[in-house]
Amino acid sequence: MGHLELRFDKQHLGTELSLGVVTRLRQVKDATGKFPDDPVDQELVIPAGASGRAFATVPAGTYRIEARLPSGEVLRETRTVTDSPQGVEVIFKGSSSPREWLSWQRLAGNVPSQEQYEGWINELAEQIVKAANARESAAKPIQIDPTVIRKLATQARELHLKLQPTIQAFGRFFGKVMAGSDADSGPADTQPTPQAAVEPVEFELVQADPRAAEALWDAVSSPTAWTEWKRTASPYVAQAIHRTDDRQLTLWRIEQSERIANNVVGPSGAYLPLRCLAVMQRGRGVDVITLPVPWPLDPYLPAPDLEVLREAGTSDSGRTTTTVRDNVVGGLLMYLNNGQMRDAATVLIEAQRKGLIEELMSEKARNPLAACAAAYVGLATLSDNQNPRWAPWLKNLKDWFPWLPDGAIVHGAYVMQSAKTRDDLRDALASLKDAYRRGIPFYTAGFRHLMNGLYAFSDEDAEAKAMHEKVASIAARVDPNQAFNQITIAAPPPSQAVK
Amino acid sequence: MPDPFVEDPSLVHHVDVNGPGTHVISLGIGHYDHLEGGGQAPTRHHLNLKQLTSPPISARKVAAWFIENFDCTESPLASVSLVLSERQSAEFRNGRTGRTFTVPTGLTEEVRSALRAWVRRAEVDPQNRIMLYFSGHGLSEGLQNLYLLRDYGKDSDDPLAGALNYQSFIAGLATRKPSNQFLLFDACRSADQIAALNRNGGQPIFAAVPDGRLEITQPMRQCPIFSTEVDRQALGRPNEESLCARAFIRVMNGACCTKEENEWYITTDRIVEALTYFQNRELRKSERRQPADANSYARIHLRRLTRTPSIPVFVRLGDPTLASRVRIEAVRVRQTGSRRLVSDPKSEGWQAKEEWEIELEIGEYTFRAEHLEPGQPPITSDETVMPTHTEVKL
Repeated sequence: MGHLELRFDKQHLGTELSLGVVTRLRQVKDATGKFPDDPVDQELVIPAGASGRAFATVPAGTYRIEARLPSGEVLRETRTVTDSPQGVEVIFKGSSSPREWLSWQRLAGNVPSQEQYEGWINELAEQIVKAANARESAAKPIQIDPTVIRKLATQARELHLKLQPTIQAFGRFFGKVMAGSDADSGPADTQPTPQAAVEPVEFELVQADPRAAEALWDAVSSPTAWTEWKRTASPYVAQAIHRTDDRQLTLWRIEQSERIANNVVGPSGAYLPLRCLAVMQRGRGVDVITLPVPWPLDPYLPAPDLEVLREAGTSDSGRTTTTVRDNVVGGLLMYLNNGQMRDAATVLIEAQRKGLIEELMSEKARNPLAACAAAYVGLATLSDNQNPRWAPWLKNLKDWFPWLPDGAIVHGAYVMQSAKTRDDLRDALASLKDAYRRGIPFYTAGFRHLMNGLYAFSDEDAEAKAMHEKVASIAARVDPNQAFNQITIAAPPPSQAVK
Repeated sequence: MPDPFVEDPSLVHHVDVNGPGTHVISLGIGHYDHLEGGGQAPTRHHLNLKQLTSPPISARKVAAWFIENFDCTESPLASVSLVLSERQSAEFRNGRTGRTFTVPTGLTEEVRSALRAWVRRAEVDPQNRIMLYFSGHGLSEGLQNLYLLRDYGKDSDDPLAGALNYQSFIAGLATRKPSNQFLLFDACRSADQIAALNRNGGQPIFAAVPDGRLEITQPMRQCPIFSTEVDRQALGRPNEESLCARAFIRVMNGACCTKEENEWYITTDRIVEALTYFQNRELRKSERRQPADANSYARIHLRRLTRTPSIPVFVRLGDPTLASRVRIEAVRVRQTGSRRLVSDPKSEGWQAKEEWEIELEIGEYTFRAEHLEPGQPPITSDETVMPTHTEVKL
């Protein structure tokens, strides 16, 4: 047998990602140079960062090795392995990040490589300046070559980014400029001056009382309700926030600097962590993100930073992405964020093999939010392993963390999927209702499970039906391409704005 | 025994299988009565959507492929049903039996009946596999997707009465007996206010029955796949099958195969990346991209193969001007006499191409471009043909 030593080299990551990149080993030749009858075809997860390594023991032969990055990019290498104790090194090198501080975001697939980024963003900025200058001169006809816009859109698509909304927004902006109209105001004599119905601030953290978190469903249901709720909400304090900008990109890095103060006493006398909502301006509305804090729950364990990346400033378009720089489940979250459930499942399997899932879910580690991420991937791949070792912990996630909607959701969804008796179904329904009362889930997957689970009972249970209707009414404003729930509360169109 | 074809007008193929079977439904909604050119009162909720030619062609191809090629021995083909909304309804001829059918035309009630009949047939055995292919207009907003049926917009007060509500549809379907559910939605996922403002609009088709699977020991494996990402379009050339339909057939032919305990299976393992690759390959020369997408995942066997799988191989010449001057073939290494012609300018009807697509069994090959004029050495390349595809440049 021979040995492979693999890693994904990513400088400036800040946090070494132990389970970083899903890698596939496929044998194309055996030791004699023939295509084998039963070629090796296996997946493993290799570390990303400056140092770690993964090891694979394989029969001698030639291997095609593919590293599948969370961005969807695939890197390929071919290596010949001999029956030698000396390992064959395979180091994948990703393209460099536009800025060092965007290294994590580059690996996560949220920003393009440096070269792509520079080209795209410079040209985009030039066009915006041109359009704005032309607009100021009433006498000057405004003409932007449509082929330029097309070219920009093409470049953005080529970046493997989900930047279409940005492009569409600029497309609309250019279109309106060309048509001589203004995006934000109607003719003065026919329409009232629009007001910012949700009073957006560019970025802020607000707290929600976990004992009254059910009210969040109503709070995000309309701009008016949000304004009303927000008026009485307090800022979420004791988090250090660092802002870094680069033209159209803003990165908000959130340090969990204080995790003891942000608690309230629950009905049972236990401390419950305050919910933290990141509120970010989107045009005249806001994005509300259910920030996954505290991560971990244990205030004495080291806490990773969170990053919120915003494209296109405060415009009404562009993508907002939330990531957690967790060295164990960071990779899983990246794949989850990009909808790559198959690869997320591979990370989960590797984490299970290493005993990390049990560790996350166990009382000792006290990171129920990370455990929920693993549980959602586990639920998606339940078909392969209906009685996973971690299944009993799902009930603990529900029972031990009464502030955590996702704990009740993963338990409810699991019981529902594996129900054998009517009691199981009753248990599932009770869990889902419990989850609803705990407020908006942290994870988008949780939102989906809650909505579909409540729907399943809505014909026979009036309360489940009402809850489903509320959840479904918000679903259209949830970004499906995010791991963490992000709900857009758009300002009403100008004609509906109240003076 | 009642005639299944009489009971369900969408049924175009039926086999009594002894044990778990595969039940396929293929829906192609291209003609929309109430959109421009639809021939009936136009809806004011037209959303600038146009008539489509590709969906019925795609749905026909998918149905025909299953009838003629689906040889799975693990869960053999039990039924295929078809719904086609096309400008001029044409018959569908079953390539295996020769029988012709006039299938439902895609009105909401017809689609509802066809979908319910499809699931009813499959409910006899929880181990059954159901497979759905839908092609037509789609809308998307947040977590919701809506798939428009032929009579979309008929009711101006509730235009989405002529649409399928994706979330309710899959939630209802997940409470039904068939345990293996593969659903491929080949439709745009364009955002529109109508989807946002009518989030509970559209037909669920199946009411959720929470205790519907209580007696069933098999786990529910539901794997819905979208042919495109949110905010993107699903593409197809006029009067041809869609990119996704072509990609899906490649997948089912062998591109997504894996070997398990000495048997080859097509699985959902790498289906998103395979669909993405094949779709985008056809868009290389355009500015567009169509990456496939999935919100949830389940590993399902889609087909157990009866032979070594065939993998799509794309062969091109480094110097394309040589196309008319070389004969290209693929020679299987260590298998005497095993060779496949890729291109021969002397053959009848030969046309110059930038690239040739063939299917080859997994294994090691030498690709050779032999000059027709003697005296020049051949151009060769040794390649191992492997899933999901192989590219060869000579």
